Amino acid sequence: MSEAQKILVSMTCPSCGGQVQCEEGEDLVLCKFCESVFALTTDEGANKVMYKMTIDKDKALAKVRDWWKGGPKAQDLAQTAQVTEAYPMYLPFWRLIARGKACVCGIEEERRGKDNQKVEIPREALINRQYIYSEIACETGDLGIQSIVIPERAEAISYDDQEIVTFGVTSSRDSAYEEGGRAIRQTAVEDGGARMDKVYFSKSFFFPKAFTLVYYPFWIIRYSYEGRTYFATVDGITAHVVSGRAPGNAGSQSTAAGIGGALSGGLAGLGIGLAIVTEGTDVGIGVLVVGIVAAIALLGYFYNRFRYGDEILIGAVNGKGLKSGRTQNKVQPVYNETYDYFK
Amino acid sequence: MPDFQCPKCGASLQVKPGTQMATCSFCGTVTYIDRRSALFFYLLPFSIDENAAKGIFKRWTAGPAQAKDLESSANITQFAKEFFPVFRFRRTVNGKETVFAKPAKGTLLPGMQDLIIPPGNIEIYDANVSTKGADVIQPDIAIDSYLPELTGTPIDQALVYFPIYEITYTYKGAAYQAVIDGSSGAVYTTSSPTRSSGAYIAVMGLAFTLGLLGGILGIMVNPIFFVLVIAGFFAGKLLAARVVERQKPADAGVKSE
Repeated sequence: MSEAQKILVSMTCPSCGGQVQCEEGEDLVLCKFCESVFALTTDEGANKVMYKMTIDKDKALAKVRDWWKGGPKAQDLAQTAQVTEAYPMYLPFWRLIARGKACVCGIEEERRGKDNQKVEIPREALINRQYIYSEIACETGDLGIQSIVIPERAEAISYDDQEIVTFGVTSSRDSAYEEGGRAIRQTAVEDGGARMDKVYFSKSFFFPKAFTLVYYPFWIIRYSYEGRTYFATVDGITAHVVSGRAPGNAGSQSTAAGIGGALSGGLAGLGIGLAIVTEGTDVGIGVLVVGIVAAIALLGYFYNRFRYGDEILIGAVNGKGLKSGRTQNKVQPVYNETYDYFK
Repeated sequence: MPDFQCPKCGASLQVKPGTQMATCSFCGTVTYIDRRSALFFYLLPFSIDENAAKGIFKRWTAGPAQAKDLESSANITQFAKEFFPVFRFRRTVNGKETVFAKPAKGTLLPGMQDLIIPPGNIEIYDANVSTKGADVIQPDIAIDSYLPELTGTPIDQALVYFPIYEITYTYKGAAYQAVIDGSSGAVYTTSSPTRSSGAYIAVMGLAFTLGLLGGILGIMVNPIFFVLVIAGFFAGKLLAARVVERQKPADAGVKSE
């Protein structure tokens, strides 16, 4: 027997000694000879689900071309960009489905009456919802995908080695499970305290229903623009562009600088001017405060578009650049299984 | 990578990465693989070719954090396609599966200290694997030097080779390094020529000042001064256009002013 053979253990039934059949991920096995049932205590054993890719290459490319046209991207992007590569692949995700329960007590502040007096109303919330947590099971690298929402129409297929590239799992199953439970409990508490201004007490629990390793399909599209390589990923079932990088538009950047600077300056000036003209009355001060707040918000918004508009980012990609769209949350509530109580 | 044989019938047994059980394709016997004491060799293939890697580097040099003329002035002096080795230990620590990654080679390369194993299609590294012309960097740290210091009990351990492009470039006489992950395209750097925000703040500050003066004077003195707000917009836009304007790379065939 070679060294390599020493690590192979042939699986036999502990009662009758017959050969048993079992598959990766199973934790109970039925012996077909003596009909005894026994539990497997292997280290691994998360159930695997794979979802069927329903978008073809042309559809994915069409979606990326549409995406090129929107937002402050380089004006000639849709005309001059060249797709250099487009390939499908499966990414692994840990998915925890659990009931999250939380008891949250706090107060809601309300202003009432003529003199705007602050009134504190005690609030209590009991949250009882189903949540789905998902987290990518490998490093994200520059893929920009952290989490998924599995659409209703997704078709589950059995996991097998296909022609399609499937990225391997490199993160710890137990860490993902622990983090998922923590995130679900935290979300339940946040949902309970959503209307409260101050939370004085909270306690949360989670009751796991299923923990699965999910393989979800994506199209990876790489394209070149002015000799630079950019990319976009497209959800293989919903066809949404979920992450990517694109060149920015210099014209939009300079317009943002002009509008942002002049408009916020004008608003601040208007506020200051009115406050002086009205000689410090409540109305004048009110206009000043509103003007300054609006000016700061505008300045921040447009400065960001000006300073980082060289590159447009979507999804959870790293680095500087103008973020557009939203990043998928790791925890999703299942709304039709909600039994909340608010007082 | 050793070849496995079915313990019952002796036919060759395919053991896939990340699995605990293998079924013999001839006799159907299920075999449990005890990975606790063995070292498995894996490789993540390149999914980004040389041209795409150079394109990614160029895209990175044009990013808003990098020096404005980095794209046109950076000069690649070295470009290497390599597989970098890292040990990956999966162990049970306090009843919990925990993953550790440790370098199998001492290095100062950007990003390689973080020791992440990038996303990729894990393949078995054996004689049949194609390295597509990349150099395989051999480990110079033995696995034995890590085993005593690791906590918990082993589940499995592997040496994972992952694909990188190692780029050395010069900018204004100084040499810099960047590493591109050949699987997902992430760019790692330790230091790089960066762009100051000063010009951006100055331009917006000027437009703001003109707008502010226009607002105050327009209310207090004469509405004619509101023109200053519009002047602020045009001044801001014109100056901003100069700040964001790109120098075309010399080889693009475009005349630069």
